[in-house]
This record gives sequence, structure tokens and C-alpha cells, in this order.
Amino acid sequence: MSIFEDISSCLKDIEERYNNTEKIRKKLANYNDPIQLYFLDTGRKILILVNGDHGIEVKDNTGDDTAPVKIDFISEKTLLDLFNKDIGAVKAYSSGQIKVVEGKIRNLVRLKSLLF
Amino acid sequence: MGSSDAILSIDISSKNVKVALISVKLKLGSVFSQGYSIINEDIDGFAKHLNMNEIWDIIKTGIKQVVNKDKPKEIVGISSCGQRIASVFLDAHGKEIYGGPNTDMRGIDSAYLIEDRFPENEMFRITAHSPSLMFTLARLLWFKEEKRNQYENISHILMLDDWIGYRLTGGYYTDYSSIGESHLFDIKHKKWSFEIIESFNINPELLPKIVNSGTVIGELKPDFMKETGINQNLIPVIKGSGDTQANLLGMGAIENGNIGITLGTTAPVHLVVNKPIIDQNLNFWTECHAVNDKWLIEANSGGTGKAYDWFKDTFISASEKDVNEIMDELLNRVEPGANSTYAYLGPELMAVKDQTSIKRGVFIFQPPSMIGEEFPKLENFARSTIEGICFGILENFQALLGFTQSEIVAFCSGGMSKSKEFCKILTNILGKDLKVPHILDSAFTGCAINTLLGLKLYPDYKRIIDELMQFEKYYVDPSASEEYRGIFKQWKHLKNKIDDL
Repeated sequence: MSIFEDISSCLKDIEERYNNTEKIRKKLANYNDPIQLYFLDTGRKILILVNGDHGIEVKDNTGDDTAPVKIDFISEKTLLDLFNKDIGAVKAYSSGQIKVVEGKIRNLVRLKSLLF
Repeated sequence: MGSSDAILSIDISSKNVKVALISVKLKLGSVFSQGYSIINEDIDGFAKHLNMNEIWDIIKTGIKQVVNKDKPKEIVGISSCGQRIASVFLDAHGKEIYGGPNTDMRGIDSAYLIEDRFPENEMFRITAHSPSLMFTLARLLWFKEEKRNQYENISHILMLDDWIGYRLTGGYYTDYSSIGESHLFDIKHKKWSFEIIESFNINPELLPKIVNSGTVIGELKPDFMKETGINQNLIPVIKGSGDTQANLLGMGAIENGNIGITLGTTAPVHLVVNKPIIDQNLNFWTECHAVNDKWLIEANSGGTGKAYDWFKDTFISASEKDVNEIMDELLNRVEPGANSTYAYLGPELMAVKDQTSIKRGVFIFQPPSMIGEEFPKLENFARSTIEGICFGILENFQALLGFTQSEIVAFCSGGMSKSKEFCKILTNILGKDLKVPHILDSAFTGCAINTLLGLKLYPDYKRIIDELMQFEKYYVDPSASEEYRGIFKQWKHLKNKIDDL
């Protein structure tokens, strides 16, 4: 049975992961770049603002095309599948369901536990 | 081989454990090969490990088989090589806590610790490798972060080839070619990087002793001889190297200006240089060769063998004929350019540190349209697959030319070099004559060469290669090579367009 049934529940979980997991905050202590998630099937954009280990803000239906980290999802279902562990991040990535449009590996490694 | 002296060579490659007997004159005897498991630790697919007992059992089975088959008069020595980057952690009793393949990316969770401590260019200046998440240091830090108890029990850090040596002799040794890809090693000065080791509070006592490849590190354990049916009193074990460095030895690429192309699952292209040159763009890796005073610059073409095997398995493996023969027949039926069919199946210019997306696989071909006169056939796709692989190798080959003024001599070996048609196409696409050793499983030859050196039967690597190795030479056909220059431009032009898919 799926635990995450809509995107909003995934976004809430991202905030909870950040707020409740010291390791994730430690990993993001030096991270301040905005992250844009974009769903190609619906055109929905999400902006995640991480302020180091001081806080996180997840804005639904908000985009920033200048964000240094931009990740495209082929569909909203891909994010749900990832959160429900129906697909692994590596498989989603290698099968083209996720594409990093902007972003350096040095930034992306910090975001894995937060987003996937 | 029954009446001759032989060397046992062990190679743990990306997919198989391979064992062979090879004569002291470098003639290949029996070969054993068996796949091993790579275990995913979770659905994410980043963390993977090896079943080290399974690998050891396969090695023993392999030795038993080849010894039983060839019945050598005497085994004069044993040497090995292992998949680079793969590492093993042992506890105080020498028991494996962890063994991980080169595809283990658990470091994705711990690499931030390295990134926070060392700016990217600083880490690259020391280690000449990136990104951090791939290497032993990040794996070690992963255990520190995620499995503290296991981390506390780590008493020995080894690379995969070092582990074979340890299991054979009980000694903890590494060599420059192996440890140079751990992120714990200063490539330029050929020594441990205590700058890195101290930054992460790694106990130096965990580190193995470094010796040159081709050094005797002990004797084969008597119990092991009994288990594998070897009836001999003493067999010296000689330190080998990373598998690619063994392949380079086994194809004869040991001198300044030599470029060796290892055609395995991927196709690393290595330029041999006399001094450690560090890529200012932090892209191409610098490594230690097995040869003492030589370094290597690596430009990796990516999954060339994977693309080749995928094509064969997907499109022609159902046939009853030998698949490689069918491939050669298909390649022969089509002219260069494969009727404007272009394949993009992964091989390309190395850019691993910036690789944040996996590109889509693409064939571009003339559609079976109403006005078309020739419809695409299997041979077009076969030829375009091979040409696409060779163009990927060419991009890396050309990039390496920028690091040397020396005269280039090109070599290749490995699975795909078994196809003469492939070698002809690669020669013409590179525009460079190509030397291919008679023994195409050149890692075995490399291990044997290290053994001959370790036993002091020859004074140096060059003498062994000059006296014992034989090559087939492929010569450039100037008109085909000229034609390929134009085809490559078109391939590249289209690649730039499809990379964004």
C-alpha cells in the first residue's frame, strides 16, 4: 500500500526529514542553493530553499529558473514511486525518469538523503 | 603445458573471476572464468557489496580446474590483478567486514565530509581523481557515519588486488597502481597523503605496506595448496596491480607516449607519461603505472563493452552461429557510415566529475518511409554500434594527445579486439596504426609479466615484452580514415543535438 499518495505528502516529508534528522541538517550545513523540481507531465514546479542547517522552506507551485540545482521528473508519479520505494533512485536516474538539468555533483550528493 | 613451468594468473574483472595458467614464455594455457554476485544493499541502488567468500571459492575452483587440466611441471609463481577502485576492509583477525566493487556508490552519503574539508581542486591536486563519492576514502567515511561499530572494527584497508595477495599469503601489501585509486594517496609524490589521512583521523596502522608491482610478497599458504590440489613445496606470490595496469603491461604499453586502450566493460584509454601530469581541468585521472617510474593519464570512454554486449545479446544472440562471427559478417556487409546510421549508446568523452545525468541511448537512421529506397537493416545498426563505440574512444584518444609531445604508439586488447573487423574500424577511426597482442586476455599476461620480474628472471619490464610478446599490427587505410573523419564530424554534430534529450 502506498504511503505517499500525492505530491503534497512528499513535500511535507521533505520538511520533516530535514527537521527531524540531524544527519541531513549536518550534511546541508554549508548548503544554500535553491533547488527547483519540475514535473514534465503537469508543468508543476516546486522550489526548495535550504538555509544551511538553519531551516528549510518548500514552496509548491513556485519555480525559479535561475536555481543552481534543477531536477526534472518525467512525471509526478516518479516522485511518488521514489518516496514509496517502488523504484530506486539509480534506476529512476538511469532510465531517464529523473534528469538533473542544472547542478554539480558536489551539491547533488548533499541532497540525496533529503530528496530520495 | 604438462612438461613446462607455469605461472598462475588471477584476475577479478568487473564481471568475472578469471584464472589462467600461462607459461614462462608467455603462452596461454587453460583459462577459467566465472561470474560473481554484486549485491545491492537497498532499493536505491547506490550501495553495493561483494560476497568475498563466494569470490574466494570461485578463485579456488578456477585454480583447481586449470591446474588439473594443464598439469604443469611446476608453478613458478602466482600473481593477480583486481578491478580498480574496488576495496576491502578487514577486522583484526583478517576477516572481511566489507568488500565493494567499483560500482559501489555508497560514498554519495559521505562525500560531503570530503567536500567540506577539501575544495575540489585541492583534492584533485593530491589524488588526481574525482568525484570523491567513488573512492575508498568516501566508503570508509560512510562506515564511520552509518555503521560505527563496523568502522571501529576495521583494522586493514586494502584494494581488491591487495586482498587476493592477503588471502594467498596472509600479508598486507598494496602497490602504487592499486592504492593510487583510493583517494588516500598522493599521486604526484607517490606516497600516502597524510594531509588527507590526518584530516579524517584515519589510523595509519590500518594502511598496508606499499611495494612495487612485481615484488615477491610471500609464499602461497600450504593449506591453500592442499585445498586446490597443488602438490608443491613452495610457490612465491608476486604483487600484481590494478587490472587496467595489468592489461597495459599485457599489451606492451609501458613507454612514454604509448597509448593503451583496454576493451573491457568500459574502455579506459591510458597515455603513459614519464612524470605525474595533473589535469588542470580536474577531469582526466592520473594514476601510477605498474612500471615504477611511469604514470598514466586516463580518459575513460565509458561503457563500450556494455554497449557491444547489449547489441549482441539483444539483436543476434538467438542465432546458432558464433555471435562474434555473425558480428564480423554484419560489419563486412556495410560501408563506413552504415548508410547514415548513427549510434549513441554511451561511449563518449570522459566527463565523470560533471556527469549528473545519464544520457538516453539513441539510434539515428533512415526511416522506412514511402520515398526511401533503402530500408535500415540489422547490419546498419551493427556497424553504427561499432562505429559509435570507436568514436567514443576517439574522443578520449584525441584528448590525451594534448598531454604529450612524444611520438604516439597505440595498443589495444580485451574482448572486442577478438573481432578483426572491429580492430580495422578502430584503426581507421583513430587514424593510427594499432598493435594488438596475441594474447587478448592481456591481464593474464600482465600478471605473468609481474611474476617474471618478481622472480628476477628478467631485469625489467621492457626486456620481457621485447623478448616474449608477439603482436598483430593493424595499419591505417588512408582513404577509409579520411572518410571516417567526415563521418565523425557528422556523428559529433548530431550528438551535440541529442545530448539534451
